Amino acid sequence: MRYFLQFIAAFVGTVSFSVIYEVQTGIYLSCGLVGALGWLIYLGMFEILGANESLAVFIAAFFVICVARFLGIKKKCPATMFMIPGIFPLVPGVRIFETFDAYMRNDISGIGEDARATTSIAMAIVIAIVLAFEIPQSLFDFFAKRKKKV
Amino acid sequence: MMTHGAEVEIAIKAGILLLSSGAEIWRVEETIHRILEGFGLAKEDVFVLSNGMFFTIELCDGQTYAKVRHVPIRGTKLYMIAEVNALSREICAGKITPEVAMQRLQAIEQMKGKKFSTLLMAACLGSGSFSYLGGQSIQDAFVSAVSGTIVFAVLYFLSSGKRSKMHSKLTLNILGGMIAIAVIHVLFQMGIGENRNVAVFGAIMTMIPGVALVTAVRDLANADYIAGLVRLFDALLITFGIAIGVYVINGLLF
Repeated sequence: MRYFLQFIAAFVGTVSFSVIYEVQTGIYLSCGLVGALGWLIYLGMFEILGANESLAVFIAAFFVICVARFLGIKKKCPATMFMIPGIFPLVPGVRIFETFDAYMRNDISGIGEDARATTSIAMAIVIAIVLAFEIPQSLFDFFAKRKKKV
Repeated sequence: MMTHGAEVEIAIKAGILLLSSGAEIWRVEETIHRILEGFGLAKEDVFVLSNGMFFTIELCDGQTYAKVRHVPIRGTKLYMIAEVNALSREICAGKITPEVAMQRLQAIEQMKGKKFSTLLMAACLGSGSFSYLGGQSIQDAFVSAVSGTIVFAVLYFLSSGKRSKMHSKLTLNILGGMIAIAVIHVLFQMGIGENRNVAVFGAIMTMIPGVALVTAVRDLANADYIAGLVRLFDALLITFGIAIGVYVINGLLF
């Protein structure tokens, strides 16, 4: 039940942000699904499998971008459309905020801890973006076309 | 004067539209290249920064045509990227003439974004659900949704239409942060809400420059360092502004 609620929240959040960033009408639902699935993968890795937080974010972000590239070919629009809203739930927003909070409260050990967590998550997302775009386009073309025939 | 002036203008205009709606550098360069190639011209040289571009092309008659354009960093409009992308695909396929392409580009430029009410609803739902993801508390989500909606409405009002150039980005974001925390404080005083940090995070979510950050990373990864750093700095300045706004009010209250 908890995961279901999280899924819904991630879905609604991603769709809302694709509206705010003015994605063209007609792909809202796919954007939302990408974001929500990415978030579920993160939660599953982190809470059920007990993986390292950065690793969980990395794998979820990698998944999001691969799906985004796949959808980009299928719907004939840039993968960015799906990728940006989809990656949003994974961005370590609360962590960034807690870093500032610790800074303002003069909590030196808190700054270190939160800043470390924030940067490692951000780095995980960056590396996932870079690596997922290294996969050759032809691979995605192949799968996208094969699925169409089925 | 020019034998291929119209085609070149189309390519430049498409590039500018892409750049001003937040596309990556390589996309701008590649679209310009593809469009010109589609029209049978390919001796161009483009240098794109995140807020401007330099363009020269050698035309068939041996003359060189050059253009420098300044493109201010503006808000993200992803649909424009998609539209220009679709248009450039058609030009590549040789389906449309330069005249039609120019009309299409002008139509894309004039396209209106979403209605204010739609955006406001999205801001409300988005703030609420991201707050819920961060803290799993319905109360915090409610606080975030209320505060996020107010912040979004005020910033939209201050940065749209005629007023778009009156205020600096930093001021707007400081103001946004201040409003967010003030509203949250009022609601917390009324006894609604559990975790202040989570509520603030949800409320400022609509101001966070997510697209700029992702684009900056992709530019950097493509070795477009100058453009990537400019975007990254733009994004960091916005975040910094929000944080200042939040803590000015926090400092007054506690």
